[in-house]
Amino acid sequence: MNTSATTRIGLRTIALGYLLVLIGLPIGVILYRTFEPGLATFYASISTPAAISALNLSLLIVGIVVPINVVFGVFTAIALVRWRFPGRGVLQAVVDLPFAVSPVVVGVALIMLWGAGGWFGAIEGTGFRVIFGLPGMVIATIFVTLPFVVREVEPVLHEIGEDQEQAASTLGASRWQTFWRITLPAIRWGLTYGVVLTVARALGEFGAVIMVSSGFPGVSQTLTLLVHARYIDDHNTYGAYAAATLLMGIALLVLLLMTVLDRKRSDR
Amino acid sequence: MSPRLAIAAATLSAALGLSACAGGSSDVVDQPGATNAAAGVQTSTVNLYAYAVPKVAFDVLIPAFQKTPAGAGVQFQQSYGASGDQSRKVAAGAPADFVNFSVEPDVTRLVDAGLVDASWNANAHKGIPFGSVVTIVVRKGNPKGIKTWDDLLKPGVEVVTPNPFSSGSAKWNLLAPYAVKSGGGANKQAGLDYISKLVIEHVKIQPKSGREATEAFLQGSGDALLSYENEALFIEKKGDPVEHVTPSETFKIENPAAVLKGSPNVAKAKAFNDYLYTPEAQKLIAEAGFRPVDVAVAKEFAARFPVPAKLWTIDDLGGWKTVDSSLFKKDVGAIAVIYDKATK
Amino acid sequence: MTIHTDLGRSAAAAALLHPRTGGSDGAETTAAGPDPVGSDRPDHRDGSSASTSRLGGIRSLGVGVVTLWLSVIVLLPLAALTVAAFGDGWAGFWEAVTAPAALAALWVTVVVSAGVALLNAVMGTVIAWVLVRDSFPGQRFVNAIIDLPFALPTIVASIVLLSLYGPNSPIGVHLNATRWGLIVALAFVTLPFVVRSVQPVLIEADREVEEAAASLGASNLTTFRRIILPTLAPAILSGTGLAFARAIGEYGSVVLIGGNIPRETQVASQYIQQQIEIDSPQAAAAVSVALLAIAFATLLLLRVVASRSQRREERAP
Repeated sequence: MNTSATTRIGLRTIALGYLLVLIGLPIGVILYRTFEPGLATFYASISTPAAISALNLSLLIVGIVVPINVVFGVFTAIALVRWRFPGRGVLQAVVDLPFAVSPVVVGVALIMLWGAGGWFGAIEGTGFRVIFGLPGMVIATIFVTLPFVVREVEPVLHEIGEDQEQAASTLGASRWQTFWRITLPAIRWGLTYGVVLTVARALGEFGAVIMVSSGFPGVSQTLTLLVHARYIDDHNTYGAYAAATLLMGIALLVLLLMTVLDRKRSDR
Repeated sequence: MSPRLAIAAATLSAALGLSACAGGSSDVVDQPGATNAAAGVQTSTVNLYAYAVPKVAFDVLIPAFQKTPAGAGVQFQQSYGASGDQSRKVAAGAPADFVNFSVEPDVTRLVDAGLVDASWNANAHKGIPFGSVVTIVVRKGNPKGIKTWDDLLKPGVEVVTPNPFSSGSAKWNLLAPYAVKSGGGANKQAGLDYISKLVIEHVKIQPKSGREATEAFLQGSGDALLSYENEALFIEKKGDPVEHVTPSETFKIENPAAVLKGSPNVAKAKAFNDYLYTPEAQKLIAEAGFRPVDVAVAKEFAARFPVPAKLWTIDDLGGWKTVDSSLFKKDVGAIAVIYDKATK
Repeated sequence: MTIHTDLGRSAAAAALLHPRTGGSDGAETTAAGPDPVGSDRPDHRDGSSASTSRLGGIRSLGVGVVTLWLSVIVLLPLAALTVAAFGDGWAGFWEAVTAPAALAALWVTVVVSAGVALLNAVMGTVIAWVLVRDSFPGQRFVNAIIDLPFALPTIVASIVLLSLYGPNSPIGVHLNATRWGLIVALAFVTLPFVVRSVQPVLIEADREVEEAAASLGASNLTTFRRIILPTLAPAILSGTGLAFARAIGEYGSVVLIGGNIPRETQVASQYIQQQIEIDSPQAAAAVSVALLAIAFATLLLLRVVASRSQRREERAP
């Protein structure tokens, strides 16, 4: 679209104005309150043993959840877009449902399923603790982040169509080659944003995780739980801001990393 | 693509590795090693589940206990949260040894679940190691001149108190004026008339927890905040521009503590529970802003905790079971009905 | 709709490229359920492949894996929830959902969420367009902050929004305890959805068609309406659906600024939390299931609309 300068600047102003009011101001306030007392204070606040172990746990959960979501997410997206099978429509609709569930209820539902008295409660008897252990926190996080990769990749799969994949396989490329050489490069931006959103949401999730975490600092407290603990239990608002800033920093870092890698890849 | 993902994964793991060398412990207290995640591996680790407010007290009580002979070598893992949430978690199987809640029904839930012995409240203080009183927090200088419960009903006064159905702990706040106005439940209607007027005409926002009510008040909502005395002392100490007024007649807040039965650490948890009632611990509790139950210690801190002319208790109103079923029960409890009407 | 991909990076794949025209075959598969479009077109998918039977085997295995995965992670917990919701039978469910306060909370939630989803559908598309097609200093920075609302713990978002738009607002905007407050909080947490759905499609979409349309005399508006919007429609709808779903489930960020006033600003999540707190988990589960049903129906509707718009696009010359 050869937009006129007026239109372009108009749209730019609207977009940036909206972002400023909605995101820029709140985040500016958080950053100001975090860094106002100085970098040393900020560092001291995020380097307490509890904060470091919370950071470890958050990263560990992200490290488990992201690969799982990437593999199953891309696979699910391909299945939903490219294949037809009975029940596809139902699966399509199921993918989004995790978002519509209030995080409080996610915890309750997971306890009903995996808890000591739940449907799969027998697992507990084998000494493998799901709820109030790391597996429960991972499952809760996968639940709330499941739609991202699927939904980011899907529209791109539609958009790129299937002709190239078919041409490749006609010319004798194996399915794996076709996927690796044709499909994956084409969906990479969708996948990038899917991963970025997954990481961000996995870091920030609170409601579902608090319900299935034993909540011990240094053991089962994620960074987001630490933010809440500092704010609610300790009335340490500064500490909460500092830890929240750290969380945003990680999300930002992941986005930058993915973008840089994408760019390198497309420059080649 | 694959190298990209590989690099991303490698970076993540590197970040993990870099920070993984650090140990795990709370901002405030010592913790057992982070690897000891599974509860009860070390018999000397006590898992404490409590509501959030008394964390300030436990932060000093636990190190003090560890210095006593009974507490030597006992490690603590502490989990804090909303009283009801914590209680439901323990009922659902969270590995707790010692619990401390805001209201007795949260312990009763665990008794019903077979996790706490029915005799938990059989000691001299009925299982209540500390408490507080309901108080009114106002802005610095008390610009609206709020001193009594009646002052809250003056035109133009907006009162902030958490919704008692979102937060069980918030029931204390409403029980205070109810007990005062009804003469301890003798004249129910008078009490309900007051609550009705208060809730319908003076309560606008209904935060879901005490902490959020405090935050909303500190950020400018309302003219008065119904709160616990310990919370009021705490925010005053932090330097927020508020002060508190305890009406001459108010309500006694009793926060129960109990030990779970059948845990491998039950002896240590019991020792900790017993420790809470010692004069030494009671002093620490008083210093943290809570009213001690030990009579001698209470006398010592009389200046800090002025004794109101009349302090109503939950027993005056017939105990929690009666209060819950007559006042707070969904759809039929008198205060539940008032809340339902308030926003029609 | 021609397709632009970065195939050049792989020599082998580049050789496979053949001239493309007209509608994309992949796009027709948006429809939920059996695809009505596929039936009146020659289906070359199965015929052209040399290894149909092998593919069939892999596909059914794949379908099995996908189904199992979605079942364990999503369906089973929701099934447990549904069973709990009907713990007191159909009557109990109905009673819990039609309690006046529950209905009011559901209504507030749906209205506000729909408003927020709509707002973000428009603004998200504009932002995505500006981020992809426009270029200005600081663009990368703007692109980077889009996801931050997700990473921010909702309680912090809540405190900050209250301090910005609450009673002590430094800029004189008072949204405390109003539905506008809810809208701001929900718009904040759902902003990334539409932007991040539209962005990748916009990057992949071909500008040549747009330019061709323009050179043939189409106005900007016509080009946008006839060329760009149809291409973006599935992504916009998908993002809007997610934003809507997230908004109706959201809890933490609205707690402080919303004020939790029943019938005015109490959203369903808060009502659900209340039911759990007063030990009525059946009512909590029932309202959650009602919320799920609303989300499910809305998402299904959006998907049907998306597939329609796409079919129209394909039929267009």
